[in-house]
Amino acid sequence: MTILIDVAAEFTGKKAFKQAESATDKLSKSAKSLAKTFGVAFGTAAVLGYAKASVKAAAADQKAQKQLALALKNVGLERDAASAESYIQRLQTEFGVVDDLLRPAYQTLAIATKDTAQTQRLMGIALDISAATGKDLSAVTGALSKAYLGNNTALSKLGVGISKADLKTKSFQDVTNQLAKTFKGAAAESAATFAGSMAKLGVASANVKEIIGTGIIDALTTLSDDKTVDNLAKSMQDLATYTADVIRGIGILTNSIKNIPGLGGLNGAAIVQAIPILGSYITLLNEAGRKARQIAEVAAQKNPIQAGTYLATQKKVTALTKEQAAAQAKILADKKSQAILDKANLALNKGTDVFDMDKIQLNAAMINQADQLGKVTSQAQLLAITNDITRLKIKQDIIALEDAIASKDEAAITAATNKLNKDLLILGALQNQSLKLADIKSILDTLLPKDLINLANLNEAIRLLTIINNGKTPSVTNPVAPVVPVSPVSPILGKPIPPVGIPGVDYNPGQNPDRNYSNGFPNGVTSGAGITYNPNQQGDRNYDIKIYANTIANPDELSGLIQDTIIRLNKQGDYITTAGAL
Amino acid sequence: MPVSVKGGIELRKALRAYTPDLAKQMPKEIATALKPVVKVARGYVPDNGSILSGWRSRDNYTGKFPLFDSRSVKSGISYKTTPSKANSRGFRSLARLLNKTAAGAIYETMGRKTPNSRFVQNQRSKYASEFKGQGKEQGAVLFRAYDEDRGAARDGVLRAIEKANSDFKKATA
Repeated sequence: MTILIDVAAEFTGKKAFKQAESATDKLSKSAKSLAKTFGVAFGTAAVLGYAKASVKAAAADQKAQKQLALALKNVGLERDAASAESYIQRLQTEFGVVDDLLRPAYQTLAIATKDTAQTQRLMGIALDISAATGKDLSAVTGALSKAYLGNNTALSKLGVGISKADLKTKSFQDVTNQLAKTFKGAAAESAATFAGSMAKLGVASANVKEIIGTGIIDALTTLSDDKTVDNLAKSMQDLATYTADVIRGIGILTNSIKNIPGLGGLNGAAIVQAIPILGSYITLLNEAGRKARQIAEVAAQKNPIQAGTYLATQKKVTALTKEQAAAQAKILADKKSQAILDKANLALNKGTDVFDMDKIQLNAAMINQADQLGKVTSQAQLLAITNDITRLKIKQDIIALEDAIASKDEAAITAATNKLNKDLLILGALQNQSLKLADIKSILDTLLPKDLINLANLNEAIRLLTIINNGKTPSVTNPVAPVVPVSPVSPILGKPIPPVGIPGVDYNPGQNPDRNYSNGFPNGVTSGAGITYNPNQQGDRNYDIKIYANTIANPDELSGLIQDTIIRLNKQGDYITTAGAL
Repeated sequence: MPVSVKGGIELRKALRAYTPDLAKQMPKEIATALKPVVKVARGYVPDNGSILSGWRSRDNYTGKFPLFDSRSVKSGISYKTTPSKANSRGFRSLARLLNKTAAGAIYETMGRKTPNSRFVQNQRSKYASEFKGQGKEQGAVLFRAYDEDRGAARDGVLRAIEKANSDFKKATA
């Protein structure tokens, strides 16, 4: 058990419902059609409605007939159009399949086979297959026509007992023979059933409608002065009303005639003919209508040669073909002339361009500027190149304007002037932009950071130091004090080291003078107070440093003190070695 | 009652034939509309601990009465977006919510016809379950969730179909 909630559903109906509905529909249509044909039980609206439907059906039927005839004509089967139509009529009465289905099927097969005998043979097989399998007739004929042309896929998908191996190995003739054998008599058998009978009735009803519709169209087109649809429609309504009234009258009259002693056994046309005077007229009218119909039918059944239409059509086609060929030849000749002219113009233009130095130079300059554009690294450069390009364009515009003035072409002059003005405007805009950029640059310059140390502020610093050192105010005329060289002072002797050197010592001129000290001791000094100089070193590098510290403990006491301290630290957990011991 | 839609199945066929992308998109959008109901409904299924021990699923059970297993009942609550076969009245479902397991169906509807039966009374004393919905579409799990959804799922499904229809028309215009 499943709990189910349908959120959205669609009513599709059931197959049985559909069949029942279809059968009922057909039955009711047939009954209505018959009733309408008699017309006694229905009013003006019903008769008018039926007349409209009949006209519509007749028009559709005519259209389908013409389409089939055209298709047959196009595939070279025009002579067989009449026989095809009669074949279709025979099929629909025999098998109860409406001509609306048969005509497209016939057309499909005829287009594929281009042969009437083969078409009619395949049509018979298709009807049998359709009746046996329940497949749509158009699907079956489509599959057969494709198979005839070598495409067997659709036929294999029909499920008609033809294997792929058969389709590959057997010829189309063999395959269709097999199909004809398999489904032989299916259509006839199907037509013999109740459903088939209903279908036949439906076909008959449809035919009645078409026939009546054709009659109405013929009558109304004869009655109408002109052939417009509005007049036809109005005439239809008027005639329908009139006909309905006449039918009512006939009904009343028939009833009265039946009541006359001795005429009660009459029925149908006999009653109408029995009406005095009027009956004679109606009979005459009936005869006239019948003859007109028969003439039309005979004319329709004539083949094109008998009717004379074939020859006339062929003549027209030939004449048209000749006219078309002549027109094509003329178009071709015109095209050739135009091509020659175009080529000459192109050559002339090329020649002009080759010797026009101004244009060459301008083009070269433009190409150069385009190259430069690729190397641009800043907006200023881009602006400069754009300016140049615009100037070059203006130059081109000027040349174009000169050319236009020389040619006295007013439109060209106006166009060239407009172009020049436009480019001048662009140049103006670009120059304004360059001015703006210049302004920006000056603003940026004012924002640049100042040097922390330069000659000016260094001199100012020295001047201030001099003031601090000397307590004097520098003279206004010479605000910068002269730099006085200071002799280095020996840290040992406490005397300034002579800047020039020691007399009798040869100084290395490549070294600093203050580094040119001899080994030994300056001025013959060998030792200071408590200081012993290393005789192998320079005198001013001879530093011996001795530190005198008072003894805070004797060595043993110091050792013990250190040991005690370490042991205490270890006890506290502050190990000074990884092992935790001395 | 389901909403009746005309041409839904034809639309699906047309989508599949001419716009395969849209054909995949429409079921996804329908699923998006139905999923919240399924989620809420699964939440209304009690866990195994709340079920009477005699009804609880167990090994070596040979009886015919379906036992309750919370996990399988929850997994049996689902949705479908593929058209079903026509029912006895000729309707084909385009989108539906399902409570598929027998135990789930029992829990869904128990007490609807026989509220005073011993089984129902025993269950009622164990836990509280609330019926929601109307008439035959009244239940404690899926019907309850659908009723509480107040038509949002249905509207979502219709919107998805209409959207697919308009998209198809645009694509094939």
